[in-house]
Amino acid sequence: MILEQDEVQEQEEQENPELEPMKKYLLLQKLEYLKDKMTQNEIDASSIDTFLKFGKDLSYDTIVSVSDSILMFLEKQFGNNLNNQGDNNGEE
Amino acid sequence: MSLLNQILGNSELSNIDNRVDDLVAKMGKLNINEKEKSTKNFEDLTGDFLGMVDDSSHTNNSSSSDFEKLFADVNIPVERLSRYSTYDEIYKSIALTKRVISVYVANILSKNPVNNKTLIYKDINESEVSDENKQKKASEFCKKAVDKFDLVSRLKKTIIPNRLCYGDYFVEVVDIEDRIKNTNWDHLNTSVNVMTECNNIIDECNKSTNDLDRYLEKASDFLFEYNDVDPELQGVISGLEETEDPEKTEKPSFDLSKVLLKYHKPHNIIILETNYGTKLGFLEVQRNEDSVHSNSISMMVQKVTNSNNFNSKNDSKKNVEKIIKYVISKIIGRSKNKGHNTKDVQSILSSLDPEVFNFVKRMVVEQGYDRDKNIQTVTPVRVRFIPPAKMVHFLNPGSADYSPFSASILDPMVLTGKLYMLAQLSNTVTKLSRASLIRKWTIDTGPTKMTGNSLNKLKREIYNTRVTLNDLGSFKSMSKILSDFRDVFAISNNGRTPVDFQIQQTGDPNVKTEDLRDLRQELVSLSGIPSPYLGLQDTVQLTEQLSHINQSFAVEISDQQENDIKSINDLIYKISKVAGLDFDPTEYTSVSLTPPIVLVLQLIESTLNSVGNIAGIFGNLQIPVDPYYLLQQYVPQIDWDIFKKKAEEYQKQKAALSSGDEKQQGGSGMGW
Repeated sequence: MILEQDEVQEQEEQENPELEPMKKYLLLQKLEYLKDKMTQNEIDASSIDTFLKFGKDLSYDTIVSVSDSILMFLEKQFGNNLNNQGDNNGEE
Repeated sequence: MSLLNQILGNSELSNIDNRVDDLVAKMGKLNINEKEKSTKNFEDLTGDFLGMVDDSSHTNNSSSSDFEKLFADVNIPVERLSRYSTYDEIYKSIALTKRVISVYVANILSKNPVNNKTLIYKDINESEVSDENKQKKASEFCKKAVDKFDLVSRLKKTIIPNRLCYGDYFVEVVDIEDRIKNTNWDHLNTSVNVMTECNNIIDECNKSTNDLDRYLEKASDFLFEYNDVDPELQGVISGLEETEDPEKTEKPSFDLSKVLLKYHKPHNIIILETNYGTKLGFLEVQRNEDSVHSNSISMMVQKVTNSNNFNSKNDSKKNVEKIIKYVISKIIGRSKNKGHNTKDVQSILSSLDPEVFNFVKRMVVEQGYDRDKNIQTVTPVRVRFIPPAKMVHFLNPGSADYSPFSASILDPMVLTGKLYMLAQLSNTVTKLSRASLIRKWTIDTGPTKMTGNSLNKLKREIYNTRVTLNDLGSFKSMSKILSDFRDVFAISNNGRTPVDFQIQQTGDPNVKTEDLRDLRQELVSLSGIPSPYLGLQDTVQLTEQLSHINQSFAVEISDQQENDIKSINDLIYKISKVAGLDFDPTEYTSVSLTPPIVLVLQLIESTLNSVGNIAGIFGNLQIPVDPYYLLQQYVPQIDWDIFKKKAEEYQKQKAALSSGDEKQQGGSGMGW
């Protein structure tokens, strides 16, 4: 059943190639939002900034794969920071 | 997830979308944690917890009742109150202690004679990353806060004298906006209780004095005339309320009018501190003023030695309270009668001038009407919790005898002071009694014989000219004191008396005053102030010794100042938090007091002497030594690096000038 659903989704995606620019736009907007939030919180967002500068010229799939790896990295970093804070508070 | 994402139904896109949202949420957490870490210490956090309980009591009375119950039996320990009353007694009865306090106050808050300012605003350069904008803002905030709350005169008149006298003093920082949010204005407006209470007060006033009420009427009419203005202006005023917000955003990022400072004497405060030194907060306990004045012998002595009438003082205080209550009731009454039937905050807002509204808010919070319970009973709450984040503790340095409270500077003087007082009193009494003559009255009953009544009347009249201990208190009876004598009556009939008296001097009228002098000297030494400051002749003649005494006094003063500077900066930080400043101004600018310059100079002078001697000894021993190193180690009051630089510059300038002179001289020589 699950396999079937995935297949259906893949089919849908393949069926709507004209939606790709819109998806690309949405994704870039979301990354822009993330970058703003990071700068607001004084976290270094230079890598996302560089990526966004060239984002328009990249294909949707490339953007998805790169942003996935960026997010993975950030998630790991934040997880570590939060854990460290918890430990520090516990020690105090 | 946005609508478009849903419509597009892309799993990758929604996945990234969610992950970004998660990350941003985590960022918020990180940020809050960091902020709390930087601005709050452990004490603040415990205070926040208890404060939360306290806050909930505003909104939900039933849930907080347990917490309130805990406070029901809280009272200020009698020992502490009696300690304070002893200080009061000593302060009021011995003029020397008044001088001690005033010398301390004058030296702690010494003015800069050039610019006539007491406080110094220093920019902190330690944090080099600090941006100038924030530094500017911080120093502006500090200055404005000091001006707004008139901190210098508050320090001079209440905070420091009370701290010195009782050991502690407390300043509470209240957020008016926060408190006023919890005030049930409808209740305040419609409840007859406040009004009836005020009416009762007015009735009382009517009974006692008719003039007072008339005066109050007039005063309140005069003060709140604005209520009779035309409705057009009302509209303008209510418009002002709305247009106020954009103005605020243009103004600096803080609003000091939100802050109310409540000054507490330690008599009403209990510090909640665990055995291990964690400060949980403070309790303010309302006391019944009358119960404190116990009728002890000391109080009677005080009555004798103090010409002030306590009752009149209390009465005037009550009158002031009455006036305040009356004014508040008048304002509320007026706004109620304006015809605004919609009983919401806005209606009150629109009927009041913004300035007056602010004033009312201040009054309502200050008088403790901001809790529903109080409005019903009109008596202020008996026990109130104050979190440590809202309270600033001014305390005396040293002595942990009464921890967590600190000891008064009068504390070591208590026993000696009492002895001094007794010696003074007994000396006076002895002197008077020894000087007394026996007044001999011979009353001839005459041929018609005086009746017993008229004889007693005559005796009473003569008795009334006697001097008692109570007469010492007032200046009016001074003439009587100067002529104290004993009366003796002998009744004669036809020139014959049954008994006869001879007038005799009772003992030596001179009293030994060595005791007094010794006690006075002991008092002076216990006060920690060199005797010349108290207007007494110093027994020490050598200037060297005198400068040593001055130095120790300088150390004492800077010790006192250190605590005050800490508390002042703490106060400014807490004000900034309530005023809505988004950073800690004390990180950029610190407010400090003028150090005792002359005394510090003397200290430097004598230390330099010693250092010079040591350097000389090193020279004799042929041990190479860098004099600047020695100075840096032992005279830290001077920044020797700058000193060195300036000295070199001066040398160069001097050399340049002298070489110029030589050339000129040489040139003129050539001419000859």
